[in-house]
Amino acid sequence: MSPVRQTTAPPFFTPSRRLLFGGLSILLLGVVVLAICSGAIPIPPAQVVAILFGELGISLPWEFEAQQRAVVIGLRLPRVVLGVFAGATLAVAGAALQGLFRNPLADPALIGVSGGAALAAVAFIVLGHGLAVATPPLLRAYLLPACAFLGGLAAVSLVYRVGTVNGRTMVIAMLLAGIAVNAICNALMGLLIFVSDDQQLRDLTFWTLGSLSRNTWDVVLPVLPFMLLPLIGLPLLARAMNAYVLGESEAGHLGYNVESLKKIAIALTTLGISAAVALTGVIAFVGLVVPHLVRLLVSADHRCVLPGSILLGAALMLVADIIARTAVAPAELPVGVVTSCLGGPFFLWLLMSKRVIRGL
Amino acid sequence: MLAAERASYSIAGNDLVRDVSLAVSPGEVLALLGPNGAGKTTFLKLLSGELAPSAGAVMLEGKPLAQWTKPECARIRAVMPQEGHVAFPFTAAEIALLGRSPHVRGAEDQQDWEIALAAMALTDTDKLAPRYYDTLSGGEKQRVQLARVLAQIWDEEPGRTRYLLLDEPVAGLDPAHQHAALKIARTFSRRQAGVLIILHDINLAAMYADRVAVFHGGELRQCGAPDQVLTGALMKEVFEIDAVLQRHPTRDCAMVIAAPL
Repeated sequence: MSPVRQTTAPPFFTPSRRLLFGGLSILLLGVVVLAICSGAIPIPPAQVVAILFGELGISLPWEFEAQQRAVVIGLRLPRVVLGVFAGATLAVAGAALQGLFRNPLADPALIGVSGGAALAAVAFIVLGHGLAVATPPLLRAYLLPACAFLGGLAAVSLVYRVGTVNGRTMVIAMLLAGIAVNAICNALMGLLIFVSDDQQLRDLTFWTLGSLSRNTWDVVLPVLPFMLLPLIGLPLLARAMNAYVLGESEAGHLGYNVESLKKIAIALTTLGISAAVALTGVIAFVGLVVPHLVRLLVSADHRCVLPGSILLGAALMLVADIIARTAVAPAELPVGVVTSCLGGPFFLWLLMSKRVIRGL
Repeated sequence: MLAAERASYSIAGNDLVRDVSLAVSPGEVLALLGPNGAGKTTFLKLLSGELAPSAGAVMLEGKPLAQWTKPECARIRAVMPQEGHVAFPFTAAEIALLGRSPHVRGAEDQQDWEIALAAMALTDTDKLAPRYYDTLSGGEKQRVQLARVLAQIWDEEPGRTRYLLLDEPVAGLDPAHQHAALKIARTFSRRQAGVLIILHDINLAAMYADRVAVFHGGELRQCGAPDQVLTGALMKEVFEIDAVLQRHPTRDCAMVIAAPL
């Protein structure tokens, strides 16, 4: 690829970009169907499509059994919905944070969200027995996600406080504070792991590696709105983020309110990441790699990067989960292990081909 | 008119700008001269609204700058930064097109695109349009940034004034492009734009500016036509150089030949 891009038309929504958005959408739909098909009981794609349309009240000519419907609607669909939302949220949050910090290394772990959420979750697993007993059984399933969510919010508020001087947010100070908060969280997690028993250790290992197995409708549905907010809100900030690429004062001179841009973007990414991490644990690499892939495939224009990351992040998360579920069936790998195993080498290859570095 | 009225800016008890009254009017090029740390950039930031004066006021068209909304202000006033780093692979054309942001609702249209390309042609960067911004040399980047700020206030409408604030726009340019950039600034000023330029090269200021304002220690020392302001005594006092003033052999302007004191 030569370092030259077509410039005969306004660079937004050129035919090639439309084609790519169309391609990514079709890819995501295909992967969704594939993810519902695969599992312990394979269900053919035609039946899956018929079942999904049947739920919408449209009957298709393909017949399916009641048991297949129960598996698709009760088991596979919530998992796929969780995967789509978590993958999309992590990727779009990563893209937004990279733009906000004007740093290609930024990812959802950077501002301390993941660290804070993980610490709170681990603390609950190891120390939260009393809290669980005191909670009505109906609400117990929400305790761990709620703890993780609050932990993420608490960590970001701390980072944000450190990074805000006289009402102005200093992104560099936030970045450094995020690193410090992450280090503290990791150390405390190490301490908790040290005092945990065998069963707790298994639980928390699975959680810190990331997994889509916490996926019943009653747990997933209440959390979806928190991820929906950044999925809708962040792409609306795309043009302001483009101006922000020039620098804070330059974006201000172009007429954007930089302080409110920073506040809104940080609030939305924090909500989304906390919600995703609360259900799935820490899933590495999606938030870092996906935005770079979209920049490489389409453009660095945030009007491409943000929606493109949503589509590609969701699709890649589902692919990773299909591998996690089927590679060692009937057992299941933590999906975070798959994303890192695939994402790490792939990212190294990108770096070696100099395509990413050239853009830095 | 974009005017500072007895404006001061101090931070931690230090006056970076002290009691300066200076205005740039449509139709003129005003050059700010002065040694390092004289307060030129701080003064430009007061005029651009990036800093608020700690005393005095900054008025745009007779209305305090703080009462303008940011988008309103951005449509008639462009500011070129000293340096521009871009962390992501944006093309030069995309950077220039960002100048159209204050005028765009939704997505840029064909007209915005043509303006961006025209501004690039004017700054001799049209051939760089498809290149990635960060692969350009320092001088090329500066010219792309100049194209961006020109595109921002490109539209010429009767009765609508525009202001262009440039902080050392020619510092990284080769001589030919230095003259080209200043010629553009001058041409722009003749189309109802007020242009304020921070310069270090006194001879360029003498050749292109209608007025020069000399800063020293945060204060405005002198302001007026280059021929009147630029004197050997001022050069000695403010710039601490031993300067001989002559007429330019081929142009009708003053020329400074400098030597250390």
